[in-house]
Amino acid sequence: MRSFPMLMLVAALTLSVPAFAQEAPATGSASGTTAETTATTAATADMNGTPAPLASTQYKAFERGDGMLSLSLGTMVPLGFYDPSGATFLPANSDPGFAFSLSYAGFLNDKWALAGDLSGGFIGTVNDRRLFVAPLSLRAIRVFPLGAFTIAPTAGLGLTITALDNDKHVDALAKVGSSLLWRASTDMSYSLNIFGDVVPQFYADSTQNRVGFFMEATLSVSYHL
Amino acid sequence: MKTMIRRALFVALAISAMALISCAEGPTGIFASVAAETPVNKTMTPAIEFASPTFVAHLGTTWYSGMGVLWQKADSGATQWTKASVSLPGVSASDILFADSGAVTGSSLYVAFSDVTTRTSLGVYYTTDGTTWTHIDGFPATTEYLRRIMAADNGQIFAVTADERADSTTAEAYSIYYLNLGAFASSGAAVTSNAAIGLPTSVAWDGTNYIFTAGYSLVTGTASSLSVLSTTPGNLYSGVCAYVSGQVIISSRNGYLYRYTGTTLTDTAGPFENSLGKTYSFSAPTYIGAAPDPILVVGTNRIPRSSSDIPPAGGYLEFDATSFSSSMTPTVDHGLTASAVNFDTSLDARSVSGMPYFAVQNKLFAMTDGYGLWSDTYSGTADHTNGWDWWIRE
Repeated sequence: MRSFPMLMLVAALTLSVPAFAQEAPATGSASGTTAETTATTAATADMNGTPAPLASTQYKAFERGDGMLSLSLGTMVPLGFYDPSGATFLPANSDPGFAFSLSYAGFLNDKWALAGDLSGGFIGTVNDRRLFVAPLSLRAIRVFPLGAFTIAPTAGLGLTITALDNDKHVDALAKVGSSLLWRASTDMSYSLNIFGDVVPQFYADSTQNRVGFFMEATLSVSYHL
Repeated sequence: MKTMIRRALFVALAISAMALISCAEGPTGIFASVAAETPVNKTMTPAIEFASPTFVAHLGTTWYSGMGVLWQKADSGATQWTKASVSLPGVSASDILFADSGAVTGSSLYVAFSDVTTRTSLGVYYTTDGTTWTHIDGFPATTEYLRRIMAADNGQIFAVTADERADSTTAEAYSIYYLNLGAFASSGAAVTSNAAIGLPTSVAWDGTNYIFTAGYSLVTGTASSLSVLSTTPGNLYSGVCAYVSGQVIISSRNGYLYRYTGTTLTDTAGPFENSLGKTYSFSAPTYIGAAPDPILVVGTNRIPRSSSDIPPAGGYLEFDATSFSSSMTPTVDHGLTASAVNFDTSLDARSVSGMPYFAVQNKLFAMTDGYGLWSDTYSGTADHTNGWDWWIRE
């Protein structure tokens, strides 16, 4: 008789295992899987063919510890320059150029991530000089998953290395923009990125100070780590 | 894996920043420079974009330039250069004719042509209308090769020849001739088959005498009686131009400028160097005495001084030539004839073989080695620096 309570406990545990299994989070992949985007686990039938009760769980497209390594190619569009001494906005005097970047985004939780960018852009001026602009930034990203898509507005700060002929300069950088990601598979995403770069450039000769405005429009392929 | 990537990113960022944070600032801000650019190629003739002009001349209402073949452009209203239609008597019309050197005197354009098809020097021709060409017969002699023709400030035309040599170990001997009554005549025994002088490259008229630069020598005198000047320091001279009355300015391949007053090299300025301390090699200087201020410009070229000494190309240097002194220095921003940004986008770091100035249209040309023909016109308007309209590519 003393074994009856133990028997009942074992029976209860046995019956509840399928339910626990259904509620277990999809921890097999740090990035989650698109195939598991349904909010409930698949229903299973018991031995008698009676549907087991469904257990719901909150699917998250991104989780703490997720990471994305992205390679981007596209165009860098010079928008113009602001002359603080004359309080005037000057034309860009240059044509859209080539832009590239290598980025890594690490997720702090399911909503926020921090990203680092190694970017570069080549711009041709009206006189065919080559202006090289390399924004190096640390960005905060807020993600808004929408099914297979994710909208990810971002803002960050960093440095910009600029070079023209033999002159080079390092300046501060403010970057804002957004990405639209499409989760093509469990490992890969493709995205469209639009970023605006604001680069205040200061010199010892203050008459040479200008603020540069650039837009990066790139397409990315991202690998989910 | 993730940790490694993060570390790699941060290390790359740090290295990039540290490597470039100490870059020295140029005279113009990078963004400021781009914002201040003015189009220099808008009216360019694409076919001569990378030409190496050998001369520019103005005859009537037309500009002429030797850029391989002879090119021409109307001096008013036209922007594009076109190949001049040159038909020389006795030369096949299908042959390609190079205009090696040229100069204008009076109402005639003199050009030394060579036939590229047959690889022969054709001698000197002249025209008064750009259409009909006449050969100057009997020149050069069959034992001489025509090297170039050139004109002094007063319009006197000279021709330089080199003697035929048995082989390349024999020193080259040069002769100078002057144009006299439609024919070339010897400029004297001292400059006939002279192997002690270098190739005469430039001539100026100081109001009394002509002064030639000829390698390590200066040659001076009247057109019919030139002699080698023996009181010079023996520098490697490259060019000469007239300065104020009775004086000329001489440039050298070693970055020096001299003022010659008829008897001695009174002032020596230089050597002029680039920002890395490398000495320039100068082309012939040009003095512009017109308003607003007297200006001296001199091109820098990359013609090797030796097999191991290739001078730096820095476009051109400009000086306020109100007074020539041994302590004069070139402008930093080229603000006398252009602006820092205009210079950066035109002739900076280019090899300039000559900068002829034509008072007839207040136009200064820059002949580059492989970077086309450039011009800067003094219009007197206040739009640009000192009334100069800045450099544009022809």
